[in-house]
Amino acid sequence: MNKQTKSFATLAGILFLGILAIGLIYLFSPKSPAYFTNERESLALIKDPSAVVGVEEVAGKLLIDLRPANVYAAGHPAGAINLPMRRLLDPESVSILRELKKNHREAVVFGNDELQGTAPWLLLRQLGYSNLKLLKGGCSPAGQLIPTPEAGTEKSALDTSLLHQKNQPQTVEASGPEKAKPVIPVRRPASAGGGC
Amino acid sequence: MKRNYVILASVMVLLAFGLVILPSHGDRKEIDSKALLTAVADKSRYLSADQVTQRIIEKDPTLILVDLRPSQEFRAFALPGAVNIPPDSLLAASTLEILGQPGKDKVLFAASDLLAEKAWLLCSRYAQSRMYVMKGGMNEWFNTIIREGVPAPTASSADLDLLRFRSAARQFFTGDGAEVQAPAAASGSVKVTITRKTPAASGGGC
Repeated sequence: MNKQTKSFATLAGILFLGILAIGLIYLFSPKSPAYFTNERESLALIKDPSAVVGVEEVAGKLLIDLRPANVYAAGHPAGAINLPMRRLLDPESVSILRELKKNHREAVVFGNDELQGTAPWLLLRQLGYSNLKLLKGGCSPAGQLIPTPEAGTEKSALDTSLLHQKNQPQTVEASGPEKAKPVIPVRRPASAGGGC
Repeated sequence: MKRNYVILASVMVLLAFGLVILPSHGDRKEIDSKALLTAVADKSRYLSADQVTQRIIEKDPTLILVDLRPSQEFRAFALPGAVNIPPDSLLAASTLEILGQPGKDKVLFAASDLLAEKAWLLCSRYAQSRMYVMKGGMNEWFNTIIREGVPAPTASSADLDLLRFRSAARQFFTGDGAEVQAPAAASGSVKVTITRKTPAASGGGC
């Protein structure tokens, strides 16, 4: 074996160890939870009516409060656990969620109102926590669960007759009692006395 | 010596198999789930119905209104310039072409804001930027802009300005506008009577 081959083998060895190190670092680096659903499944989640539960149906399910810890401390429904939204993907929260998933325990997430719970819920569903449901309502500061009001649902409340007045012939109604017009005093020039 | 090479080569081949078990990503770019959670916690994506209305009236060229309601409701009434995108085709190539326009603010809404919020999250996962949600959706828009608001007796001047803006906006959308009357308490307090002393007519000259 001559000197040249030997230095080549050393170089190849160093290169090999480098690639191995990069591979291992990648494997064991902390990663964000990966998405579980693909595009089609995620789209189906948007319209899934069985994914939301009403306030009256929560009995027997674990309640997960997404509000900040101090709001949770001020008042929360009995038996609810607190996973603040901002720390939802921290290791301790994730381990709780994993445990629930493993035990097939159905859980209901909620925030101040349905809107606040929607995005975190859909994010968790896309990460594969299929045992989670969304509350059709929210939690009052005192810790009462309140259903979403009618105007907040996807039912249209538009009165289109009000909107098309532009295109309809307008009837001129007899005017009501006349409003007293403000009297604006007009200043008249003082009559100049006859000069000479 | 030769055996060493064989061992090294086989370790490399084994590592290459690791590529197979890596999670496969589609051809679409996705953002990291933790970054998405940070975006979820950021409330600046919500625009009020008044903010959206003002930009419609000003004919803001950077505004794209994305209406997620069923096409039947969209045909009955739609905001000027809105595009109707059924939720089913939210991730279709044609939709992402609309949503992917750089430098435009995409405002999502449906009858309410829940569907828009879900659509926002889904599109944000696929790395769409400058997406907004109109808070309250079309129902809220209708109730604040089109339905006449009655000022409370204790309304501040900012509230009255807002009501005047809404009244003007109502005129823009329906052609029907009623003056916003300041509440009696407010109008009574601003009434100022000025009495002027009329100069005595100057008597004749010389």
